[in-house]
Amino acid sequence: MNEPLRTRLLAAGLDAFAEYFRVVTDGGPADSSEYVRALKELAGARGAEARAWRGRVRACLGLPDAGTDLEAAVRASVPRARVWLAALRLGEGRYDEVKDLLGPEAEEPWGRFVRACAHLGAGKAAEAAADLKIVLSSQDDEQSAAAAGLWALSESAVGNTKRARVLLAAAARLKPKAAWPWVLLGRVERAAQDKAACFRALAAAIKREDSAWTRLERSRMHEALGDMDRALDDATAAIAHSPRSTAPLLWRAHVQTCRRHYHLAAPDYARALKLDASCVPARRGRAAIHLVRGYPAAALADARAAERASPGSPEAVLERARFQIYANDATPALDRETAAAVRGAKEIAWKAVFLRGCRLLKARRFGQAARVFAQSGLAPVPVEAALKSSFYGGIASGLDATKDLIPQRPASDRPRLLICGLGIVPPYTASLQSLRMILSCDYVFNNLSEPEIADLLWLLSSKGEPTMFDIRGADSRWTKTIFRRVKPGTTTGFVTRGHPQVCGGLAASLIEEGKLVGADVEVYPAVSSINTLAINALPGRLGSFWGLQVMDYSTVFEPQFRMDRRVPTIMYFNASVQLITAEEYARFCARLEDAVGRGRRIYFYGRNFSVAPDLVPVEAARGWYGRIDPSYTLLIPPS
Amino acid sequence: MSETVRLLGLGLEPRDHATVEVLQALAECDEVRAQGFGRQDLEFLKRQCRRGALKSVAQDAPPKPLARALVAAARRGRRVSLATPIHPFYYGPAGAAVVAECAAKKVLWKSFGSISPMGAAISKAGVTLGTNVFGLQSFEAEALADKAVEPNPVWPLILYFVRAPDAAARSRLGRALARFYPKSHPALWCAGARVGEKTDLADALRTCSSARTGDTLYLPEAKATASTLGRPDRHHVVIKGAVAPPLVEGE
Repeated sequence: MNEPLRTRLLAAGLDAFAEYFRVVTDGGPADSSEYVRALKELAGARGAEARAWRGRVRACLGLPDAGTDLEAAVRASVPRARVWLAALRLGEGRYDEVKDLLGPEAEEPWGRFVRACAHLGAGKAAEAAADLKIVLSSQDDEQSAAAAGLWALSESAVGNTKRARVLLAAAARLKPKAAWPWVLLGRVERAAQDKAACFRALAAAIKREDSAWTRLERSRMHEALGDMDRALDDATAAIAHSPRSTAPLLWRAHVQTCRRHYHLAAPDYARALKLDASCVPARRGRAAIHLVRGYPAAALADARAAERASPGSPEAVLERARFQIYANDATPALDRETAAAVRGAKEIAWKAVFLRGCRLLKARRFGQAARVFAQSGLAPVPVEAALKSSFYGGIASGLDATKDLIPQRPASDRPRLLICGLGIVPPYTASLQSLRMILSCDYVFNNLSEPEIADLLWLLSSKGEPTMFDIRGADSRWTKTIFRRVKPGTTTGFVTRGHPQVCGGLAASLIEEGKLVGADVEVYPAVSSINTLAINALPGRLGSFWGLQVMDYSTVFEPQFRMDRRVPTIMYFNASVQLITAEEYARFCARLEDAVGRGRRIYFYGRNFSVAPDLVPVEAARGWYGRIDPSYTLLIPPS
Repeated sequence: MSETVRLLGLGLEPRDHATVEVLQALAECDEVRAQGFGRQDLEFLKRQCRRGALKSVAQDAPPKPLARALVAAARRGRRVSLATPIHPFYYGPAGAAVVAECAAKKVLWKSFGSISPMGAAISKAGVTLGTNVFGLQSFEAEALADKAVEPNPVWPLILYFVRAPDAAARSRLGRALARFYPKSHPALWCAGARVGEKTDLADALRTCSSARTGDTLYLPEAKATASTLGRPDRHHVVIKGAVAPPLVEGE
């Protein structure tokens, strides 16, 4: 292998400790254009050293078979090959193998560093400290800085944030042009919940190295804080830096999924698969999206491909089985297959039992399904198992007890549209009646974006698609889309959040359209914010509520407006509150105060009912002009 | 879940209105005191509960001893709940008694939303709050008369029954409603044995002598509203809690 190539590879940082930090922060493969070029050049190079470098580059690129080249280089006693192979095993989490691999290299700085990493990975901080102290006191800045960085990670993990910051400051002084100390500092500050400090550190990292790695790191922070737009911007920049890498594409697809923009996530998964057809995360991610978007057969195809790419993986078998069930492609033989797959994997054995329950639920054998879900939730199981088994067990048991109420095919040929709300906290607030109505549908439109709801609907129905009803109001486009399916002799379902007739513009449109076209439209009651909010008016009082009032804020302007103070009252706003004049708003406030009673306190709910409300004097409303969002709600407790 | 008393509402028709989270709670509890249910509903509840967990409680059971028993059981580490039709805070005084006893003994309580008479009524009547009605009022039938409620005539009125009113109670109810609604005022049964039946107020008052818990009557507004101020543009109605989707034409 020629000297210029060796020099270039070293300059690319392939031999740097920093490579470890990129791996440990999920930075994905290194800037692949440089490494791909190196790999091409190495293809023609001969000898054990070239093979070692090839293995190293393949490991950095996240390509398979890196281990094969490195193992051959180790056998040929190529310098550094052992350490590089140990680093590969580190990345794979095979910490026990690392120490055995190192041999005499364990006494060299790089070897000590890798050994310390393995100790930390295995939770042995004290053993790691011994090696790190030696490397830290090295004359070599690269080595000292790396040891400081690793130690900082270890200190941060046990909550010693101040010490971690000091160590990373030292690393940054030793390596002023390196981005990795700042990336690690961002991690430390994020763990310490100092968002501003985290973003400052990440900005410093990007200033030193604007790469896929640093952009992904900042994108993750934005995503964790719920700023999906900025997360998307950084994810897109990461892709631009590393267009031949799957990691940024997978991440951006994840962000799009978080935004419920499934149609934008799908192309990213497709692109990742074009780069690497055996990319299991891409297959799994796309399978989930296919299901949400109403394509269970395509979801199953991706799940099968993921299974082929993960031979011997019980999780892959279970995933494939899950999609088989959704796609109505499951038989009892599947139970034996999944049970066999989890043999020897006690921690996930519950999943095979749970899937058996799902298969039975899909087959409408509710009683059996309930018994199987009870089994899958039996301790000792992880919390996830207990929760999911309890949830689906409740559904199966309830449906079994009321299966005589599942509608049969109606005698009349008239087209039917069933509008089912799954309540204010779907799917937990779904009623048995709504679930039975969904069972009776030939096609279901799902107006809910959560993937777990898509999972539930695919167990109760066989055909459907998502709608994406515009949050701003009734949308005739969706009315037309839905009514294209409402045909004689069929029953179509529309599933939505809350109660469809509480501030439900689309439900009202569907009811009107149904009257026009001669379809039977039925709406089923559901738990709405009315019901959940009113409960909050009670604590501390005796007696019971004997009534309830619910109003749109506009009704306050009515001449006949009156409100009984002895029962809870809920008041919703609507979009027009942003259009009324100051004088009109003042009149609203005056009438509200008259009705409620001056000085009385009311609950003010913001955009999200799950956030605790503010308890404020009714007069506080006077200060809200121009700031009320239509989604705000007032709860006036009884006096 | 220990040291927590659950308050579970089964709506107007438990076999229809039980929610998944209520079914889960029933299955998890060591003791479920079910107040005010008939035989068929008790059979349904029993199937959702652990063996031996369900205990039926009379509709008129004194609330404070019931609450004390529940809270004492919770303090012993048992998972307990009070289940009623509609919701414990609306069905009778037991729910509030439990809350008061929990506060006194520093025990947590938890409740879930349930399907209400108002929710059932608007489904059957086909009206949408915020689109074609802008206010709703719902009262327990006897309380409307006894508490001298003055309904708002521009809002639909929902009356729900916790028990069948005797003759005197029906008479008081009739007089209270007569001040605002003519005898011929349309009425719609929204839940119960006569669900879906359209009638008028006079007939409804006659036949409510056989009303059962959860039977619900819907009376449309008595007067049209004169105001348009603050009414939304039909295309600007908010869905709370929904995630804003992209505005794309299909996929």
